Amino acid sequence: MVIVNFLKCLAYNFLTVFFANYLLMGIEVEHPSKLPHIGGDLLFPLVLGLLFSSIYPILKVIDQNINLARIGIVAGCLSFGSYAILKFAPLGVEVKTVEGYLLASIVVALGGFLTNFFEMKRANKFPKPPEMPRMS
Amino acid sequence: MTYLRSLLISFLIVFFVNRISPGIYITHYQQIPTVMSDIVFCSFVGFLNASVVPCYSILDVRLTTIKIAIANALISYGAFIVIAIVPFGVEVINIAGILVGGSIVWLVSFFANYLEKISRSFGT
Repeated sequence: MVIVNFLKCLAYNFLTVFFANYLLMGIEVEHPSKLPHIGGDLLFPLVLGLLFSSIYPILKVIDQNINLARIGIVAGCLSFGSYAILKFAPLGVEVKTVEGYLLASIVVALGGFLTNFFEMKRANKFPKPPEMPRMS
Repeated sequence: MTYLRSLLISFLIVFFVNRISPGIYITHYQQIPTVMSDIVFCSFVGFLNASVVPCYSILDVRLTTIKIAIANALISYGAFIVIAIVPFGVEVINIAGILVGGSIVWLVSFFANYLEKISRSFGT
């Protein structure tokens, strides 16, 4: 079930980034992919989707006390950071305007925040049963 | 909330498939704020696919995996067959468009509905 939830998170994040890149103004896809050709417009959402889907699991490993602010800050940093990288080094997707940068970053950060928030809510609803003490 | 998530992923997967699947082309590509007919098509197919489990529940039909899969297959392949005949912002130019596009949309929407079915059976 953990893998299924991770895949679900990945699909949401991947599709949100893909949607933002194609539809929002100020962002341009240089060479749109058509299967079997796979371009940067698919690889960038895939990498960003993987990063966003890993926020909650990684925070959980680092620290057990996860709150919404932490998830929001990490999602915001990842989103704004990755689109800033795109501004200077277009990887198949190009940031044309500041409005595009802000809009895409906000939409993607919101998507990443929501998926991790739901993941946290689900984990809190079904907590792992406490381990039984071993009989010596 | 589960329905909204299912609706969102069903919409996004149609949007994704329209752009990357071979044999499918967007005829009037426009960016926001001009929302064109391809977005209407994505919303419509997404809505239909996401409504499978709620509709079965309203009709008091016992939910089974096979029933969900059949309904999703009919909607997914049917939608691409319809736009192959009547282009509506999206154009299907060969059989690969129907097969690849329909299959991806079917798989993802089935997965979303299956998860919704599980969450309903847990009462969440």
